Amino acid sequence: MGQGNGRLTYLDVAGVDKRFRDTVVIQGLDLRVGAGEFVSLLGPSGCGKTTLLRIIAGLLRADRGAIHLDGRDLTRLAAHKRNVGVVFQSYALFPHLTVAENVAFGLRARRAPAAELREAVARALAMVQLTEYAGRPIFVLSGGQQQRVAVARALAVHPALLLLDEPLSALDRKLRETMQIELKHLLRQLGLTAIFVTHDQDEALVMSDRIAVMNAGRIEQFAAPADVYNRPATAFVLDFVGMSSRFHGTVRAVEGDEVSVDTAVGVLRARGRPPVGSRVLVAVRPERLMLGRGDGEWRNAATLTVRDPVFLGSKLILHFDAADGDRAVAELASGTGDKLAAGDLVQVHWSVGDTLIFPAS
Amino acid sequence: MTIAMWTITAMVVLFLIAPLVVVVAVSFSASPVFNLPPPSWSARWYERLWRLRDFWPAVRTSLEIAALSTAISLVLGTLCAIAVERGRFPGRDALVTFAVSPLMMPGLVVGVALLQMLRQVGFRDAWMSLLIGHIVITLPYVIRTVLASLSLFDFTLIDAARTLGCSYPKALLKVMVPVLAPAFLTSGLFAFLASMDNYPISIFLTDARTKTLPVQILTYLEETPDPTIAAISTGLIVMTIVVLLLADRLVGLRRIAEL
Amino acid sequence: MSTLDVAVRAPASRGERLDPLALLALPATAYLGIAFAVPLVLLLVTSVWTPAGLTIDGYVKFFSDSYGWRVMWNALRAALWTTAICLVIGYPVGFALARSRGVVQVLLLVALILPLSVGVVVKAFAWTILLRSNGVVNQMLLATGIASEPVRFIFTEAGLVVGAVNIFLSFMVLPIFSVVKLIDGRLLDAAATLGASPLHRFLRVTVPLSMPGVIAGIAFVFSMAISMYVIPTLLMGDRYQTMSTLIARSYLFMRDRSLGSAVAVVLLGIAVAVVVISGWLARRSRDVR
Repeated sequence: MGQGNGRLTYLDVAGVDKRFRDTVVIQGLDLRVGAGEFVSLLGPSGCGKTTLLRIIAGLLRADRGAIHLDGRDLTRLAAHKRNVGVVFQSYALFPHLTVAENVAFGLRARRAPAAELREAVARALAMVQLTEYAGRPIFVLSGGQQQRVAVARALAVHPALLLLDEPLSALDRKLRETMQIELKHLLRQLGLTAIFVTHDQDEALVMSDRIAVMNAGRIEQFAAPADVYNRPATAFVLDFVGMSSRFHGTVRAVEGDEVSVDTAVGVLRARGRPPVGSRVLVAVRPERLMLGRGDGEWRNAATLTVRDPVFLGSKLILHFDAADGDRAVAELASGTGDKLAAGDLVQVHWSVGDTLIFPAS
Repeated sequence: MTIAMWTITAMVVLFLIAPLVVVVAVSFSASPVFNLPPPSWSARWYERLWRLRDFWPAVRTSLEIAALSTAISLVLGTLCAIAVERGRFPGRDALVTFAVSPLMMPGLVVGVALLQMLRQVGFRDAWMSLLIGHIVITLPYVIRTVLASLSLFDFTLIDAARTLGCSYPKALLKVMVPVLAPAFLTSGLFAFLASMDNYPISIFLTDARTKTLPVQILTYLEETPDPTIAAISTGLIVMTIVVLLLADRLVGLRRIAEL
Repeated sequence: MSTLDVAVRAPASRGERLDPLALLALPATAYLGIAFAVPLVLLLVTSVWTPAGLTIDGYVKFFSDSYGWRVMWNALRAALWTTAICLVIGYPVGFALARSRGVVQVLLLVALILPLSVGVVVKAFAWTILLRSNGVVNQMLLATGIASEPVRFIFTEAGLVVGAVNIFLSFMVLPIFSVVKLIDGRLLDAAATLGASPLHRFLRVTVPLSMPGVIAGIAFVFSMAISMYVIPTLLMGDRYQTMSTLIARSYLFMRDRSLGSAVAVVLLGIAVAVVVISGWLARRSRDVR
């Protein structure tokens, strides 16, 4: 799935299985990441993303499969010999050491000469703008500052690969958004290959070159953010990333590369080849819906009842009444539907090309 | 109600400190009877203590036993605490209850029981017997305190150290040992003081030549009750103050009070 | 929560091979087993087993005699008084310690921890001086006019209890302190907004929440007081016997092992009962919370 990114494979995770006792956590997982790429592992709690990260770091051993980094076989290599940097969710800063000593920890473990060590620590602290905090103990730092120390500590040893385990989840929203941009910028400057674990789809969309959407120990889709959003490979990806209107239905006919589907809101058309009579899910992203009666290319239309208009400043989200298990939601630029109130009947339409179709689960 | 609370507290502070003040005051009295305030001050009891040869072997035995039993307890207790906190095996709660139970059992009974067993197997070395007995009371202090600290220890720190280039044993040494140092220190301190002060177990395990300090003190009090005991007690108080000051510098009084 | 957490926290399922980490607990467990548990079991055995065969002579001797009952009653009475007084004065002090800040708190902590660390022998010795008929306590009583002539304290039970309270008080205050300081002050505010009077707030909110500390304190003080040896030896002399002193005498002077071991077993039974009951009460007070 979308492996051909035009880059040489730098990290190669092949056929990894992992189970804890009777629970399968990761199953036959493959992941190929190019040099300098920023890849997010996105998925709900328990999908195996943190386990995969720990396997790559060498903190867990896979039951099967192989891991190669830049041609080196890491599969049986101990964590401390992998040169893989990790930024932990809790930061895992050493409470008994100062900021500078934390950053120096990895260099000391590598027995770096004193002069080189001092210089590397100063450089790493400058990178995260914490130079004047070098001598402070960890507990006086704010959450954002601790996060930056954790990044500096991981970067100070020049890791071949940086792994980040939900490193921003403990920060408040404003700070998190600033840090997303800063971190991405920093890693791009360094040209570092990074794998970023998150359950926050917005974070994954903002930061990544590619996103691997994980579910139940597998990667459901591995693609660029725009593709994941616009062309979700599975119903799970559709559901997990972004909002959508979705209507369950039965395929009534296949005409060329198009099908028509009977749904609760009428006949809808989509591109695809599911067999006639099969149960399918027809979906569309909310910003693709237009108000009014369409024509020509806009051949999907429905009449919906407004349940709940939500004003969000630059945009207006309309939630409509929908059948059981279905959902209908539209996103409009604010100003276009401001007069709508709950109970109003609205005509909407959208193009067949924007319509997504999945086998019903 | 608040006023009553603080009045009681002030009186309790006086009540608690009084014995120590009295002991120190008497130790500097010139009179051989325990009169307070002393008719005049002198250091004669300290001179007498210095000249009396009875006490020094006991002091030495007590220090040896206390230091050694504390050290052994720190090792055994830490290993046990790690097993309980990190291990997944049945009966861990029962194990902890058992391991700290010597603290709640009558010391005298523990001493008698140990004496009887050692006699039965023909073991008669007093010094070793004392060491064996004292570890029984120092070990629970260490297990209890280290366990409490360990339950708050973030084992991700070990992972972090490993990804930064430390092998597993080295990560334990570089991260876990310093982070748990306060627990080692406070539990070691209380174990040491408990061993120094122990009488009920020691009384059964000493012999004529190997006596611990508390046993020697009580023996001396029965024979010649004079302020020499106050002088040696003052010495013990000073030792305690020094140890506590050290602990306060390294750990803080509030954490010590947690125990 | 990550999958790892779920996996690591999972309890060991039955039939699984033992976690190798369990081996780390082996040295300490084996040590306490050999040097603590086995001797106690042997003690239990010797209390009913003499070279002459199975016997309950020791117990009969102890319980058939009014002397035995008196000794037990002595120990119980002194322990109960000591525990009760420690509770009454320790409870407010635990609160004061939790409320205090800065220098005052440090001072209070020093006053509690220093005597605790100095040990029983030194303090018991100090009380022999304090309680003398020409001692400090009497001088104070005479000076304040509370007593018109010296009161005999040394070698009286009142003196014994005063000394024991002094020596064990810290063990009551510190557990209460460690629980009270965790009580969320907002709970009392909430109770106040619900219309509870200060007394009602204290009885219905503070007291129940402080129970775990109180139970721990009572268990500590009672189990130490029932088995105290040094304090009665110094403050009461030979004529007054508690269970501990009787055990020591039976072994060291009377060479009566069956009596000594029987009394030891009774004392051990009381200590175990205290542990079990306080554990049960602690669990119950936690569940009520």
